[in-house]
Amino acid sequence: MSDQGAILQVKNLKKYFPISQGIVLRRQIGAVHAVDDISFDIRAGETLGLVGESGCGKSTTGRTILQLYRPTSGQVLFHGEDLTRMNRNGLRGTRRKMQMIFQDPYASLNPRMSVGEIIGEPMLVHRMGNRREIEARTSELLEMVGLNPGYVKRYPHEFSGGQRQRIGIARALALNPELIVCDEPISALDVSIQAQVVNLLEDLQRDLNLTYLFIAHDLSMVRHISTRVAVMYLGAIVEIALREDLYNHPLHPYTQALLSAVPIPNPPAERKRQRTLLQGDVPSPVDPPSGCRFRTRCPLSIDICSRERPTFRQVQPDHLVACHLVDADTKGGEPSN
Amino acid sequence: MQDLLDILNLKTHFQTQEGTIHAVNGVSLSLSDGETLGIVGESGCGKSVTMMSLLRLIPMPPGRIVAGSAHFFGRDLLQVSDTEIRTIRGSQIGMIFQDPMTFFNPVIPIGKQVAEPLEVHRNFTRAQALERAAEMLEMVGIPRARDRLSDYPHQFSGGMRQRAMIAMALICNPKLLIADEPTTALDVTIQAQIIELVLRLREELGMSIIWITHDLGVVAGLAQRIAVMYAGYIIEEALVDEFYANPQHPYAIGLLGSLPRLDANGHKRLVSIDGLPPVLTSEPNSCPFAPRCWLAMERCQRENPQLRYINDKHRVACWVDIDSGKER
Repeated sequence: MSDQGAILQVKNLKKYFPISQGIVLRRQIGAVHAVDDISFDIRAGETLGLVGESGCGKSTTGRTILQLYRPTSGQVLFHGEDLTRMNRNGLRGTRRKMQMIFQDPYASLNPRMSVGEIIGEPMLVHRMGNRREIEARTSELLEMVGLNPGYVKRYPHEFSGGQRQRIGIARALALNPELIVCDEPISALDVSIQAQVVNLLEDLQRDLNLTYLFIAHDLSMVRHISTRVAVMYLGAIVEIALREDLYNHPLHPYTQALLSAVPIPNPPAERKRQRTLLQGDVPSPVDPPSGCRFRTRCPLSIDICSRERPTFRQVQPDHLVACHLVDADTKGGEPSN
Repeated sequence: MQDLLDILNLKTHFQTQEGTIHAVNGVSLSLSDGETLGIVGESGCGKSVTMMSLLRLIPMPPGRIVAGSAHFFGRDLLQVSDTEIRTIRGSQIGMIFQDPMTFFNPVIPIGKQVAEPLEVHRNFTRAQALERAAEMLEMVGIPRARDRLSDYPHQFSGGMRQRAMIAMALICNPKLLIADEPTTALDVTIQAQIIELVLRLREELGMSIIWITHDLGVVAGLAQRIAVMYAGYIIEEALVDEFYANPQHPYAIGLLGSLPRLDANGHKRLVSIDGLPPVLTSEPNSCPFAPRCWLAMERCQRENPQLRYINDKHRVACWVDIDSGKER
């Protein structure tokens, strides 16, 4: 893996959440392996899509990158600086360059603060100017996200879900960040409103030269917005590739099954489709399967899959996959045996 | 042949502090035997309220069914007695909902809950009913179902709870299954399993289905006919192939255009429909979509279009002919 133009590198990142038992004598009885040894990089100006089903660790990944959760082990390098070794003060400076947009537009805005206070707060914390300058910047930001600058005195409950998400975006932009972690920014919104917000995110990326980590479970939307896509399953990244490669030639059996499960709004095509149906549910991350984590649901699993965890390796330029069944020189979309 | 279900001019209002909300505004729909109908729309468009109204599950007050009829097997569901509607729900009409966690009683074993309709509606003994429940759970794909009858809902995963809910809805062999966003809370791989299951059961049991969803992709693979709702009105209704190939209402066109496609290469900007759906507090005297419509004409501002046939399989409520851009 080269680090060509990478603004963020994640190396062997792990995040375990302890499970404790007992009220008086509290002891740890296990751990949720939410993120278990993942490595990838994010390149300047790109959108890296991170997809996976609920509980696969994609949101934990986003939060651990921003050090909202401190990792169990591993490194997160932002412009070469290891965030995991920074203390709170060091982080505060770096966080200006890394912001987050949250999933729930109803829970992520303080209902007692006006829109002006919400968007102005990060600038106040980072001493980005006097009151008048902050007010001017707030109006500018509101305009940028397509809201009336006259709304500064209003409160979150006066806005719809889509408008609130715009407020969240304006807040994330307030400090002129380079990287924005978008954690399911549209999944709480209605379809016609989703398109508005995605178009806005694309416009802002072009105008402000932003880099996105776009976390979502909607594979169609991720295909639409991403430059590259990473697929997560049970705490591990199983495949990462350029968008067209991943969608047209998925190599990992999980990616293939995931793509075949997405319904397409085209009745004749939908009737003709051959589905790879996965059996059963995702195993618990408290006690993940040995070897390859996907083997319990994998239609192709063989002996070695239960013994050895497959290495995450490059099999084609810009196409990495973690599967025992994929040869390094695979050309097509099928894993070979 | 008579239709299985015939809804005529259904209107449902809700009294709130802000005034009367017109949630369903004269919906007419019919469903024939063995047919699957998809009802699509965004939140608040009235798709669930329509179905809850005809099942008489609307809390009243604040809700009120103002007008309309809903004939099921020749009987008007809105007129029958409370006892009769209770018999029809559960035994002749099965229902499944979005959230299987709140659907089941958390302190009663799954088996007992799935078996209950048989005891209530079919006079089965407890033992017979449990036996049948085990068969039914097996049928919806729950492994070792017999051993799991005494499990509680929290011991089932989300996908399995959804399967158990389907088993319960179908245990009395209903003629009609009403599914209200049953896969919305599920992951795509689990959603695919559930849809596959419903398609198989439809084949085996031969029931009609009304599938309510906001996902135009799900309907494409499941339904024969689709109805799109907006602000309490059906604004377009057609056979699915016709609808997806040739949508006529600007809202439907916008909705389809706002979906990113898994099957399209390259990058196209998404169509976005500006603005928000209205909340109707009175009968509108304009098209409710006109404020967001890029084709709105003078007539749209002063008259609400009726749902009319444009050919024998396609109904649209719009003054504008999408092909010519002129008034119909």
